[in-house]
Amino acid sequence: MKNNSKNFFDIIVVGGGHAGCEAAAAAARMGAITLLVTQDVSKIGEMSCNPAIGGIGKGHLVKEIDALDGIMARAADEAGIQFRLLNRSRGAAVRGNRCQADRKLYKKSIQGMLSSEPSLKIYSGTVIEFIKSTKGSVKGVKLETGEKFCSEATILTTGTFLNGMIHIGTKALSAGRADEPSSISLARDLRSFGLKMGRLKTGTPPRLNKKSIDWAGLEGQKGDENPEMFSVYNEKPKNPQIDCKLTYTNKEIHALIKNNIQKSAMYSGKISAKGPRYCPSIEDKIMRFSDRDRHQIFLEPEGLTDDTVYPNGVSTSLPEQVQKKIINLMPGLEKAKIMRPGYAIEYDFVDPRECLSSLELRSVSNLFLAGQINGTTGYEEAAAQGILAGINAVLKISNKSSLVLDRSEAYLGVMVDDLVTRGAPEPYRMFTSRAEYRLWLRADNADQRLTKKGKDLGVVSDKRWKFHVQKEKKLESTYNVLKSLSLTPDEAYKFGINIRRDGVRRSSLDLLSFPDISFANLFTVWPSLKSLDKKTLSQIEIECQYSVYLDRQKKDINDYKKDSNLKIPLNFDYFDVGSLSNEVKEVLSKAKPETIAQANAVPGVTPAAINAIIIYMRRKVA
Amino acid sequence: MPLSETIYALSSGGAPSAIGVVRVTGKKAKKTLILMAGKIPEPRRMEHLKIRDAETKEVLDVGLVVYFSKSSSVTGEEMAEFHVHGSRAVIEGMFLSFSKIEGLRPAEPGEFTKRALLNGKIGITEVEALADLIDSETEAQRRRAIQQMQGGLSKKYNFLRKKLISLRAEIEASLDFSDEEELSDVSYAGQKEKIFSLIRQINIEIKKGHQGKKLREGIKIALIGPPNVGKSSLINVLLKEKRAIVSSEAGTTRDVIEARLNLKGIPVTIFDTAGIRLARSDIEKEGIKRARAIAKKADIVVFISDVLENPPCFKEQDLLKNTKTINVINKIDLIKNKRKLGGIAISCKTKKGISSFVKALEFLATEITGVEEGLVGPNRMRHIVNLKETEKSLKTSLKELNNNNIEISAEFLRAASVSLGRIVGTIGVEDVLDQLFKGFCIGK
Repeated sequence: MKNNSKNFFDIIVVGGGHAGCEAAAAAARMGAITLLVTQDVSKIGEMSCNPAIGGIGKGHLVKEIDALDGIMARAADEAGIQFRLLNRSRGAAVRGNRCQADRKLYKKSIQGMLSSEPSLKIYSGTVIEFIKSTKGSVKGVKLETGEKFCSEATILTTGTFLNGMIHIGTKALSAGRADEPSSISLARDLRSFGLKMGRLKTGTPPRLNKKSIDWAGLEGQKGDENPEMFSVYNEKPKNPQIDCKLTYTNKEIHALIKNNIQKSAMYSGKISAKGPRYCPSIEDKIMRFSDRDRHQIFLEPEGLTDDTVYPNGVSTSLPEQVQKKIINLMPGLEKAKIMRPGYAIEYDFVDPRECLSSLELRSVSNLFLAGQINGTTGYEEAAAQGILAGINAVLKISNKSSLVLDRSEAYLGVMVDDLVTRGAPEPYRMFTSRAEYRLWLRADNADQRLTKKGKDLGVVSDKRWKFHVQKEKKLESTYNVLKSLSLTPDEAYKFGINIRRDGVRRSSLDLLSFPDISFANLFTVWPSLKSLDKKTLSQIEIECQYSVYLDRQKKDINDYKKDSNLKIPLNFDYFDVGSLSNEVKEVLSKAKPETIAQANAVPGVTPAAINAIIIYMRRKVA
Repeated sequence: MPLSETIYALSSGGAPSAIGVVRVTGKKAKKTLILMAGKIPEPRRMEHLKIRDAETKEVLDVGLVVYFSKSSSVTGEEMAEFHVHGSRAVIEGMFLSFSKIEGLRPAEPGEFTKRALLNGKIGITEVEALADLIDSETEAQRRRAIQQMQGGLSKKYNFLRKKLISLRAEIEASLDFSDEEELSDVSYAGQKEKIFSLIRQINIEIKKGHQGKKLREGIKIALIGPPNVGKSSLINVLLKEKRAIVSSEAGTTRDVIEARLNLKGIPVTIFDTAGIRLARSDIEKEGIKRARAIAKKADIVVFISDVLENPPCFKEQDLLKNTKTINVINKIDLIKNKRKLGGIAISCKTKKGISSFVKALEFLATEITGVEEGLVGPNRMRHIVNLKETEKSLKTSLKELNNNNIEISAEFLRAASVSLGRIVGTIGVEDVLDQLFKGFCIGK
């Protein structure tokens, strides 16, 4: 990596959304001379949809980003105006951090972190095509102005901009986001690679003026009393914390929507692209669940100094007039003014099966894709891919093997594996149910799973590494203390801890693995434990309570690892394996799995077929 | 296919056969030997031992037992081999016993080979030969899959599958979307009820699987009819070898003759009874008496008559009641015009109609034993063992749900999906999500 002349870079990132920012920051942290080029630099780090970061599953991704020293977690902490830990009443594995974020502060924080990266240059411009080598690999980008920038690797993060088309009622206009032009020439150029592409759809609600809302009498939702931060860099919120308010739709609104359903772009047949089932428009909710007589709408302020309110739950593509009527029929919103109408947006995406697990395109060397272009939705999904693409682009140009996270290592691994093996029949969102090893892939151990890897690759800074080393040390010393403390059942009984009177002396760790014993009980026995670090104790408690199940899961993980470590060469010719049935040959040639574990997951592939492939690979190697 | 588990299979092809070789490979092979053979024989030395049920200690068979260490086994893992009598009863007994040992499960097709491969026990020279083997494995697997997809079995299991998917959808929804109004306050009463009813239904299936008494003892078929209509000839055709004495002189078979054969894996004993007519001698009288007794105990009565003797002169109509009866009309080679006959028309001489007759027998035999198409012997055991595994996971899931450990309960439902998926087709997270988004209004 030695590109530092004016128009030559190691890495070029196209796009300044969540994927692009994270990719550029990761590449720069690894020391690559990086260019981030985007249409409007003032929009870098923009939250185009709801003003919130995290959630169940999504929160896990943000923790993983932080474990790799990414920027989303820190920006969320900087901008957070209401923090909540979702699923608090449930087990640690499914708890998810979420915060309402001040849109301006978030953007400011992201832009600040990017500008402090010495090897990152940010440039305003519209990329219209790629510079290609004679071998078909990408060597850089060409801008609308005619400027050319060369790079060794390029990361494309176009979000909803590729051939973006906004629909409001019967109106349709070409745009990548409200009032921003879509990327049409770039989409055309991308198609010229012969990639399999498709269209997806998503939507956003109208925005309301804070001052026009009658807040009195609306039900409120408070943040947590002791907020938990996303990043290890932060201990507590930096901003005043606010409440969100709630209102509801009603039968009158439902009737109104039904009567106007033909005017919805979604229902009039104007949009054929598939939208996410878990993020339905209000039209969808009414039509599909007609038995519900109300739907909850959260009124989320977009910032402390911002007059905009995001009514979470009324994403719509109905005409503006109808949107206004819907809004004004809700309690508290009778006089609410719409600052910007809601809309549906259709955009091009590349079938993610065109990508390798490193997020580099299989057929276009040195071009990486991350974010919505790969068929995902959500800031967190995009950012997580961005960090991976950033890392892998740098590894690629340094001639190092790529970072592939598997399903047992990270939510990020689960997501990328799902994308590159199954594609994205609908916009992909992270859920904890997608992770087979859910009890292991927790928010509390994200750094234990990933930070060492990141450090070895150079994407984790010394500062972040120190936090990690400290945490590990605390865990180790606390574990040692706890190991040394033990009790017999009779002794325990004296302290009100009731376990089987089998005379077996148990360590405090063994005691914690009983479902109804927590540190609260142990404090009565050993009051000095109270002085130990709370976070450390809480993590140990989690690990002990899951220990029996984690042992089970570790076995499954080991088996899975054996299969995922068996790599299938990229140019593997299934038609050359005599003993495979034609059906299997066809599905595998299409799916192009990178490992035996991936091949195993392809529908229709039999165990015998897997054996045949292993045999064949062994023979080729010999 | 988790490698950490110990797997077992009948390695000697379908039962029944003279000898059945049952292999157990993996970490628990030694434990299995101790539990079932009472000891671990010296490696690679056959020992003649009593083989017992792992739990009840009831003697299942006396057979040859071999132990292979990692270095000498074909899979590269510790392996136990039991050479037992190849009857279905013994093989099923063995499988049942295995299912009682923690950490053992039936092998998936091709799994022994895979372990050998992964453990580096198969060299390049063996590869070509193996390719053929795998070919045939694939074919057998394909056929089996198709077989199992047809008929009532798939319907019944599909029902269980759907129930489990919808249950998982509800639990997962409450975990992934607890911030939704609809799901914010779930009591799980309905889900507990559902797990409970699923356990009950699976239990019924397991019990049905164990009802194989008829299957183990075999079913009885009595051939009756007037003398010299070709009862023994029919048996001979079925056996494809002369076992019964056959003569063209009326009344040759004076005693009851047994013949055993295998119909779709179901053991069948056919009793060739003396032709029933007025007895001339005492010996004949005794024979006829026995024949009547047999016919009354039989599960299926095949009434055979001569096409030229129409209607047949047969006075013992009582023998045709209370059992499943097949009417067979023999010697149709003797007539030219095809009139409508009141039964299955066959000719033992030209073999015409024999296959329809066998089909009818098979149909009744499977109906009587309750064995479903393609589900006999070890294959049936695989189902039962997987159902048991599913049941076990469901029970733990229910327990954890009662303790309000929702995500752990969900983990065991996932485990239940894996074992049930082995017999009903994989249950993936997409199936669960499909159901989830159909059932709940999710998303803002």
